[in-house]
Parts: sequence; structure tokens; C-alpha cells
Amino acid sequence: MNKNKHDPRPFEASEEREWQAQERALRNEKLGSDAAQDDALVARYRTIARALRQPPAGALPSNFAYEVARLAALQARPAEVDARLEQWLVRLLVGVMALAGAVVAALYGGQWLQATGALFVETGGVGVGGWIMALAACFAITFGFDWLRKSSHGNDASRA
Amino acid sequence: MAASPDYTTSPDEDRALVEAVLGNAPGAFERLVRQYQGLCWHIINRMVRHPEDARELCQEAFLRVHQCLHQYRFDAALKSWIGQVAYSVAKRHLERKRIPIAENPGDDDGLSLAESVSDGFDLEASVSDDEIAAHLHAAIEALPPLQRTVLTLYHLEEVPIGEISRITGLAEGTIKSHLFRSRKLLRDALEPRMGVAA
Repeated sequence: MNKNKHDPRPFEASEEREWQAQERALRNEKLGSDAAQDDALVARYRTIARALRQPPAGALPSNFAYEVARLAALQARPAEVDARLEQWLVRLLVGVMALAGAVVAALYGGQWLQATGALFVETGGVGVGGWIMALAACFAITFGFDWLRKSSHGNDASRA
Repeated sequence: MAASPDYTTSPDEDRALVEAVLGNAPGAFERLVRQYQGLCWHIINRMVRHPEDARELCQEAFLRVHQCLHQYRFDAALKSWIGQVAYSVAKRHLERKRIPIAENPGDDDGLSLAESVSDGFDLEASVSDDEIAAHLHAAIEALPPLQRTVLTLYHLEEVPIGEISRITGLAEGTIKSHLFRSRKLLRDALEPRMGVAA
């Protein structure tokens, strides 16, 4: 029965027998079987099982469920309003930002296009092929270093 | 024989009820409360033994259920999940009041617990069934909160040991040990009235 270190010690044989008597008493009481068939130990535990199957005194008021549901609804309402307001504000913010972006693009878009075009003309000597070569060199350096690091680690591991 | 409360629901029924509550279906949460208020009451009342506090804590437990239901992942029965919330609400209440909730089931002597369970027993009294039952109930009340609750969940609510373990956060072996020792203590308290069992 032990599944982790916090479990108590396992039952000894005599305790296991008593546990079985407790369980039989519970079963017999549930089934309402003839008490005359129980041995003395099971009969004792059956009296206990009967007492334990009695609900404790007191109860919740009859309108408890209704009242709790009403309270829960009242508590949930402000949270719902907050969430809706937050959603609305986020949408408004995104809309304002999109509008601002469109206005800026309309005002300065022409200048940006001209500047970009001029940059291509200035670097015309390098050309598209030059930029591709530069990009390939970056990749080669990155992957080259990575390959060197891995191969040196592999050699260390095989030596160990 | 006392009838055991019936909270047995299928996973599909659990899912339908939870989805109805989360979708704000009219009357859904009230239905959920009605279905599990007996379980909550038994756990909390057994733990705190103070009807007024128990009522308030039951309300707190269900409000927390309502608040956190979206976190329920259907990996356990809804009954266990709600029982877990009720148990943690009652446990926190006892901790705030600095009331110990359990005696260690690993203690071999168990003397102090046995003494408290036997306290107030008139060993010379007569042995009518009603008196035996009354004394047994007094002995059950004298058990520490955790032991009382475990016994109630197992016997009255018919919750299996594995589910009690989930509700209380204790290992199954610990639950089994609590059950064994508590029932043995109750038997020991009963013996002077009924004679020693063979």
C-alpha cells in the first residue's frame, strides 16, 4: 500500500486481519446482510460502521443553493464588466495605432520610397549578388563555429 | 441502515454541467451547488464542528468553485475536485485558528488519541443500543478533524480511498492507516460496554 516515503509503515499480519474485519463489517452493513452470521470482531466493527453511516447533525438551509448561486452571479458581474471594458479598450488602441500608421505612411511613404531607391543606386557596385555573398558568409561563420564546437566536445567525450 | 448520498455522475454529466455553468446557463450553478452541497457540508462540518462556521465555509467553498471552475481539467471526477476545494477551505480555517487537523498515523502508541476518544465515557453505564450509538458518536466527535472527515468520506459518502487521497492530498497508505487506526480506536472505546471480542 505504500506509494511514497510519506506513507506510514505497512500493516503487520494481525493488523491486516483486523483491517479485513473492518472492511467486511462495512460491506455487510452496506448490504444489510444477516448480523447473526458475523463473527465477534466483525460484529463490533459493524456497530461502528452503522454509527459512521449516520449523517452528522445539522444541515444547510433549504435555500442554500439558490442563495449561493445568487451571490456568485453578483460577484461575477463586475468581473464580466471589467473584462468587456478591457477588450473594448484593446480594440480601440489597436484601431488608433493602425490609423496612426496609415497616416504616417501616407505623409512620409513617398520620401521613404525615394530614399530606399537611392540606397540601391549608391550600392549598385556591390549589386544583389554581393549582398547574397555577404549573407552566405554570415551563415558559414555561424554554422562553422557551431560545427567546430560540437566536434571538439565530441573528441573530449570520446577521450573521457 | 443509513442510505448513502448519491452524487455518482458520469464524466459526460460532469462535463455537461461544468460547460453549462461556464456558459452561464440559467440555473446551472444552482444545480451544481444542490448536487454537491451534501458532500461539502459533510467534509466541512466534520472538519470544523461548528455549524455556523461550517455554513459560511460551505458558501466560501462554492464561491471559490464558481470562480475557479474554468481551471477544472476533467482529469478527476467533479465530486473529487469540489471535495478538494471544500477540504482546503476547511483546512485553512482550522490552520488560521491554530487547531491541529490530524495525529500522525505513523505514531505507534496512539495513546493521546485513544485517551481523547475515551474521554467522557462512563464505563459503568448500561449497554443499550441507543447508549452505545450515542457513545460511539461522542467518540467519533472526539477524533481529530482529519480522521473524522476521512471516516465520513469513506463510510457515509462511500468515496474510495484513492479519491479521498486526491481530496486531502495525502498518500493512499496514509488514508488507509487513518481509517484503520480510527476504527480500531472506536472499537477500543466500545469494548468496555460490549465485552472483549474473541
